[in-house]
Amino acid sequence: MTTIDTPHPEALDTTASSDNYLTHSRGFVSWALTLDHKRIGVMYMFAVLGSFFVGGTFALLLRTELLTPGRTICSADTYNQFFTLHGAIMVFLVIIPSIPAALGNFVLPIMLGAKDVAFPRLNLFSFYLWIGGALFTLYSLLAGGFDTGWTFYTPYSTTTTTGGVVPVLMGVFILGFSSIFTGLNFIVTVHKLRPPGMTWFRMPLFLWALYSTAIIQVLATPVLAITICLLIVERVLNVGIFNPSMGGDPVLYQHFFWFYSHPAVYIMIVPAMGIISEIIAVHSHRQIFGYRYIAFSSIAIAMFSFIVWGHHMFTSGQSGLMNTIFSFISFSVAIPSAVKTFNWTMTLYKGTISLTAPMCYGLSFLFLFTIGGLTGIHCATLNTDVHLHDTYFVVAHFHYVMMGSALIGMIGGLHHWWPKMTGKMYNEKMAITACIIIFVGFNLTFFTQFMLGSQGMPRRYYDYQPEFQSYHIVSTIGAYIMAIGFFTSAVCLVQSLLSGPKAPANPWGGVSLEWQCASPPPHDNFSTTPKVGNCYDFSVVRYDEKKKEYSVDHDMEIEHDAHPAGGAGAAGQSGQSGQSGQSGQSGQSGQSGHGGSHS
Amino acid sequence: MSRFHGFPEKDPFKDTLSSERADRLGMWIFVIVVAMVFAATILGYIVVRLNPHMVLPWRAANTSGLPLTLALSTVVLVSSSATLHACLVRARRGDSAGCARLANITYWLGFAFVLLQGEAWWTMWMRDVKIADDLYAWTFYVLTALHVIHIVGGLFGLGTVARRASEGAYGPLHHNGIVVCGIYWHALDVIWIALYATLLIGSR
Repeated sequence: MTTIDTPHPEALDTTASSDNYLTHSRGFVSWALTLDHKRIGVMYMFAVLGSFFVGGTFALLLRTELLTPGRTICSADTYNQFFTLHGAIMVFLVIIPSIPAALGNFVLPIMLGAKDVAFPRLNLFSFYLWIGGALFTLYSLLAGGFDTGWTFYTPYSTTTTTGGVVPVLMGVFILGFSSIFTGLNFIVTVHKLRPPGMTWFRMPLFLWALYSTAIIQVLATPVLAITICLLIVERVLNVGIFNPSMGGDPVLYQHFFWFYSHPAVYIMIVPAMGIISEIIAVHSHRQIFGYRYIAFSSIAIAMFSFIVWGHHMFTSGQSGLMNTIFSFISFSVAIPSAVKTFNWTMTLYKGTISLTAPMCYGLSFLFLFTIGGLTGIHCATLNTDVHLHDTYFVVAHFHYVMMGSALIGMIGGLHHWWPKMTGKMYNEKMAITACIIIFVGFNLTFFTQFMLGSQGMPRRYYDYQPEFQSYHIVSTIGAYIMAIGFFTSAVCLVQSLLSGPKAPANPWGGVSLEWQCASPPPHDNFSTTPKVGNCYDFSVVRYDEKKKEYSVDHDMEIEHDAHPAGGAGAAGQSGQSGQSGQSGQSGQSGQSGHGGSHS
Repeated sequence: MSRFHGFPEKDPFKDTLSSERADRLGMWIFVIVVAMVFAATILGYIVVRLNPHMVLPWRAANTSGLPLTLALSTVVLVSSSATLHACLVRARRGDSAGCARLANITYWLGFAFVLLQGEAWWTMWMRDVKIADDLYAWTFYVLTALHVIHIVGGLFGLGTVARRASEGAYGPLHHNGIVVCGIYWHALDVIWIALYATLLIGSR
């Protein structure tokens, strides 16, 4: 089954034409009612980054409050609202939709070689559901805010007097549907819109990651939806199965919530891992090491995600047997995560590494995810967790995974595909500087919190013992440094829109299909059927000194297809392609990475 | 560059057959979503029902069992699934008139199911069973309401199928609307049987 009408494999149009998806039609309505996945992706991106600004502002406010013990800038109740809003906005409005809905929407169909997602109208509907959910969340601020923590645990959420609980629950309910429909769309797209030649094991790893994520979105999010519904019924009517005075069980709420929210953690991290697979391979110009292992580890993580939720409840009164089982299964998640990390490291080994901005984010990811992952082992260990539970150690752990990994992956992906999305190159030095500032600020903020937590500082506390203050000061300074880094990054990207040089079709030397259409892509993505080859075989990439851009040599690709290297597919070709990639490109790719991509 | 006129059509599929296959897969995935909602609800019910530390009795002693109309509504819903399948068989045979008649019957059976559920609620209400009384009452009202909301959604689909069948839109080659709607409707049928069994066990 194909997706494109005219099969002319040799004639791929990679020259930037005046008619691209940005200029195809004009005016507000053309964007508001667009069915183009690329425009919907861009709209998501703006919405998500706007929410990131709001959530980040709350983070800075709460870090400022924690500068001194007792009151610094606000009351305890206001502080409770700050950390709740920070958590809820960052999780539900930013990280969950950031990669699948924003970058995924833009990239998935192009990478796959399709014209669009399977259900373009449903895609637009998902976006407006997101907007509806965001409006409800915004309204909850006007209705008195909420101070339950982003987890909405009962009985806090059923008894608090803050007026914004029901609106924000409505918001999260609606956002959940947006997520479900995006996942549904992606699964059907991957199954039904692969062009000829795009077999499962030729798909770029980012698509495997999005596919795994979509499975989690579809299976886990409905449970959140019904949980939120039951919680609203309970809060409004003061009855329900979470109410112990009626024979209900408040811990049941935690089971329900974490049955969704632990997989949700993987909704956030798995697509980021997909981005890192792309960045590491493309920017080290080397065949990805262990393609199938990385692909299957995404699926394995998706499967494991459904059977580890109980590790959030080690101190909630679960039975000892349940705690032990959940602890053991939680350790197992380390296996597919480590498989990915080792494979990325092996891809880097002897690769021709271009230290571009996306690669800097990729390397940051490797470092931060390793720390975040390994500290997860501490939290999965039962007796250690009893000490660490609800301390800053856990806060630091999940920020290393959620922010240091998922969000850094998203920002890395944004830099990787920015030239494709906008048709403009950014100032690479400025982008790398921003990345370094973010990296330093992040570690200052959160590594300190590991120490705070292991020494007994509980999370979510407004007040603390004076001996913790020096750590809190360092952490707050780190948060402001991070804010400077993100601001620098934003300035860099905006500047590229205003005065950046024109981006070539293939600025980094990628082989996957999105690099074989113009930057920005045309409305229909490809004017002809794209030729699908091994998307990690960089030996077919050539660098044009005059044009200062890469191109894929399709004759070489056909030759490779006719004489495949060994029978082991990816593994068999990795050495050859990696080496020839190096010999053919090493000097050039370095140039392009640094000097060639901007003036 | 062109001026924008409404939703721009951009069919990502090469042909109708591919598009129809995608529609069916999409509906199957949606059915899994709906099944997860009900699975979670039934599981939550089992957890609280089997809780050995319940403070209050599961059900007040003076509450009577489930209204008989629920049993009747079950028969009606199963019948509607049967008529919808018969409607599809007629469409495949090219019997447009039979297809339209059965599509209409299915729609009205679905409508009757909603009315019967309303009658069951009324009966329980008149027996003075209030949602805040105990978990038995809570389970009855929440589970039936959750299901009937999905049924109402399905009625929109069935209404469209009935209208298009009346227009003669379905035939041996084109009847995907009935198939897609049927996947959802039959799934709701199966889910209702599971829910009804849950309610019956809970009423003991």
